[in-house]
Amino acid sequence: MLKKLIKYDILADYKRYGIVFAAMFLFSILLMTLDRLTDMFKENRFFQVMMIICVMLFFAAAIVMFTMIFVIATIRFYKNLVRDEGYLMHTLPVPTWKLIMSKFITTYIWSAAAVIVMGICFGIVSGEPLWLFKLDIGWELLSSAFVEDTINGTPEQLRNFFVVCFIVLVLTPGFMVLHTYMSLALGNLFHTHKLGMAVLMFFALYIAEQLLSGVAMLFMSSEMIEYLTVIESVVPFETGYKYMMTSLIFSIVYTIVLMIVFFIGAERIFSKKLNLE
Amino acid sequence: MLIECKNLCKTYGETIALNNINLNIEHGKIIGLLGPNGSGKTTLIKILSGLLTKSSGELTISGKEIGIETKKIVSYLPERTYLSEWMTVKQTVDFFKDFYEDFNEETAYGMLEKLGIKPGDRLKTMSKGTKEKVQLILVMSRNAELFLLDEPIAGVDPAARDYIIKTIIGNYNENASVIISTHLISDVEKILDEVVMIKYGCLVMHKTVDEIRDEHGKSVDALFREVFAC
Repeated sequence: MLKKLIKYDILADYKRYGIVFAAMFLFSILLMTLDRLTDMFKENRFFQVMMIICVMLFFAAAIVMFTMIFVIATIRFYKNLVRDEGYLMHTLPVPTWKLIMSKFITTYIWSAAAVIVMGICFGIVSGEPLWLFKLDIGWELLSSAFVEDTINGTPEQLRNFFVVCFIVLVLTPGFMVLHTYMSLALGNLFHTHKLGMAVLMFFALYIAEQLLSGVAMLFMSSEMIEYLTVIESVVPFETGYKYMMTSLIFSIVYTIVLMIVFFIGAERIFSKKLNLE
Repeated sequence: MLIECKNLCKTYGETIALNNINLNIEHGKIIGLLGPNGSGKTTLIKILSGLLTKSSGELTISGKEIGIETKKIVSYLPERTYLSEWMTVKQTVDFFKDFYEDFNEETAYGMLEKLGIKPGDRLKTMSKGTKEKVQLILVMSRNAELFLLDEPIAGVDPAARDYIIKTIIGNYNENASVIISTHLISDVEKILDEVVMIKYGCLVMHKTVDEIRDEHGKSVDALFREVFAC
């Protein structure tokens, strides 16, 4: 049943995403062409200005594309589970957690598709379509700089740092959508102004998350708090690295805990306190 | 017994929507669920369909507590259009076929063809009335044990009302029961076997249509006007 739900969630938006992805490809081809023309006509100010404008627009389009995923995920969830379509979805012989999970997984599918599209576009623009397969060269350069030059770290430390950063990046879209799902579920509990209340709940949850993480920081060492909060603090690399990794791992654990809480919270509300108009 | 309901209560904070409802419904009946606005009809239907949870009391459908298992045997038509606008008619049929084992695709396409609705038609291009008909066809194309129809003929023209009533009679199997919530009693009276009347969340009457005619010497419509006179 989960696969079927995901199938219909993808069908609902594939045209919309198809247009955006196609636009990104066209944009990157335009940029590549402009880049070639700028090289050919080095003295031509027009191509140079156009190139700068198009690069800015390309990055703006990329930001819009990633924002769109979040906006569409929110609209799809709201229309499907909170508004009129909820009368069908909540009477399907499917457990509520699957209804939420399908939307959650679909968001990740579209996010992954957007990352792949961006990767290909970057390859087109840079004139190096296989850049992803040449990352090892970049990695070696970065690694030698990290180990030998000013930083004095080890390759393991660099790898661990990247792994932790990657996990943070992977968790971010999931956390954002679950935060929004929980806000919409809480908004659904009110008899009037459900959407307005959901927006209020979104900010209330955000404040609560910040307060909780603030309280958690009280349990850290004072030196670490100083490192994380005072920009001028100077600590040896090893200590700084340890604090940075500790705070990142804390952030991962905290995010996962919140994601579980939001998922279960939204599931409980829609199972036990569903309040469709 | 198809529906067994003992001391069923539903409250919203201080407000009592359903108050100690005791009701038994057998297989193979068409039941009119009647009552003025705010009497609790929709609440009862929503609890039966699994959209709302009861506050207290006991409720089973075919001996099962309300949940996934009862959703498999209950076909629910709400008072609003609930199909996604991006879908074509074929996609809505596929959707029902994917999620309901008892859905009969051939029945659905047969009824759609009679109305001249093409499988490739998009819902967003349809009128509200056509969308409601598609929805009714999908709901009635299931081989369910219980059909819950919330105001199926409200807001449609008399010709469409006749079509809807014909669809209801022509498509439910004889072991299934149909609960129809409506204000338009005279339109459905001729097809009803039983009548359940609710007032302020309380059950005030559960009788067969024949009993009403014999005991009160009135039509259901006339009795309704008498019971719920303002």
